[in-house]
Amino acid sequence: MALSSTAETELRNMLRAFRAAHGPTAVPNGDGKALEAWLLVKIAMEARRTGHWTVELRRGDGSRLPAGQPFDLPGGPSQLRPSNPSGPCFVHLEHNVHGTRLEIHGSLQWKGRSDARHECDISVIPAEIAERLRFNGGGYPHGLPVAAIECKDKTGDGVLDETRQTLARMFDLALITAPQGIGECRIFEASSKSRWGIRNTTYRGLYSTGTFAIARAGNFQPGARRLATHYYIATLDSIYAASGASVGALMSRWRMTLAGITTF
Amino acid sequence: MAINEDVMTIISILNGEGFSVLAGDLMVEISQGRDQRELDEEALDTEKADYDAREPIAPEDQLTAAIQILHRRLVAPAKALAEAERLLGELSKGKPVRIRFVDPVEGTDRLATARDDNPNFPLGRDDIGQSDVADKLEELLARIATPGAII
Repeated sequence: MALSSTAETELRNMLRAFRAAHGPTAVPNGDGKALEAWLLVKIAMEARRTGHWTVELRRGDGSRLPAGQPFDLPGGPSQLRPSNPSGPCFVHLEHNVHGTRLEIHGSLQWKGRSDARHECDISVIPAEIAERLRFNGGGYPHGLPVAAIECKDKTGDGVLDETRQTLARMFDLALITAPQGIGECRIFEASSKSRWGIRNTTYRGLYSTGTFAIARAGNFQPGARRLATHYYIATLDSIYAASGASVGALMSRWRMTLAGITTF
Repeated sequence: MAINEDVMTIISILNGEGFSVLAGDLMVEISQGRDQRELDEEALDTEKADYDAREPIAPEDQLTAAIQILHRRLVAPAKALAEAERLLGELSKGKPVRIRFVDPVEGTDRLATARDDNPNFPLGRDDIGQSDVADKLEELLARIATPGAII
């Protein structure tokens, strides 16, 4: 039996209302922006829940986001912009005891060993590296993020090639050998030669420290899951499911990353 | 397997209302079918683990599958964004905080999603952290998925 004309009319009206209420942000086009914003805020909340981190919303110049102001995330891939209060916002984390500071950014591009740029939907960068970039005209951080989460707003199964793409990005970002003129580190800023973290001589060793994940509205093919798991990339399927299992798995990994941050 | 009439109607409506990407994805997802494999060692050791091995969706199950996809692609992201706005409010110890997606260079609302500037926006500024429209869409989808619920 075909949908009734009443149902058709209701669906048309509701889709118009939905479009008006949410605009292109919520109209699926594969960008996964809503998912990106949601998980970015979730990991910020999780940091606060540990009780060990002070969490603040910051503007593009690093100052606190004033009350009543919107939290602006980049609508597309971006370098870390020069200090500017109207630039994209981020979340600032500071450990209450040892003082380690981190920033959570959306759609930030990192540079790999090849000098190619790789966008991370959500990434976590040491604040000292981000500040060097922000106050020196902007630019791209180099190295492997403390955390990188890819958001796929797709219901189809995540295929093996998709995981290969993620792994290829991580391969290029991993500073297995010391960058020339910089020295051994996990992350660096090129113009000031600022370094952060320690080098690991193996890829899996590096990937095991940090939070790396692909979050999907749908599922993963078994082969894709196997490849990701071997390299410590969490495959978060059915991310919106009411059970919250995948979100819980992400938070568990993130808590471990935060707890071990001084060993990075 | 051929797509049934109900799902084709939904695809047509989505396309007509500016959700053409979703209309295309829905057509592909329903026509390609579902991957029924479970993740276990046995599945990983088969050749099927490395390629697409979907099974057709029976015509009588296609509407339910289509509604599930619409829920995941429309309702769930809208609710998630609203929750994120509420959580930002908690983080800043205040009211929910509006999330915008801006041009990273210009700082302007790149996606033209400035709901404040949208004369068709039905809920006004109080919408921050709310998902009323998504909730209503969810109810409608549930009714459509229930045979005979909408005559």
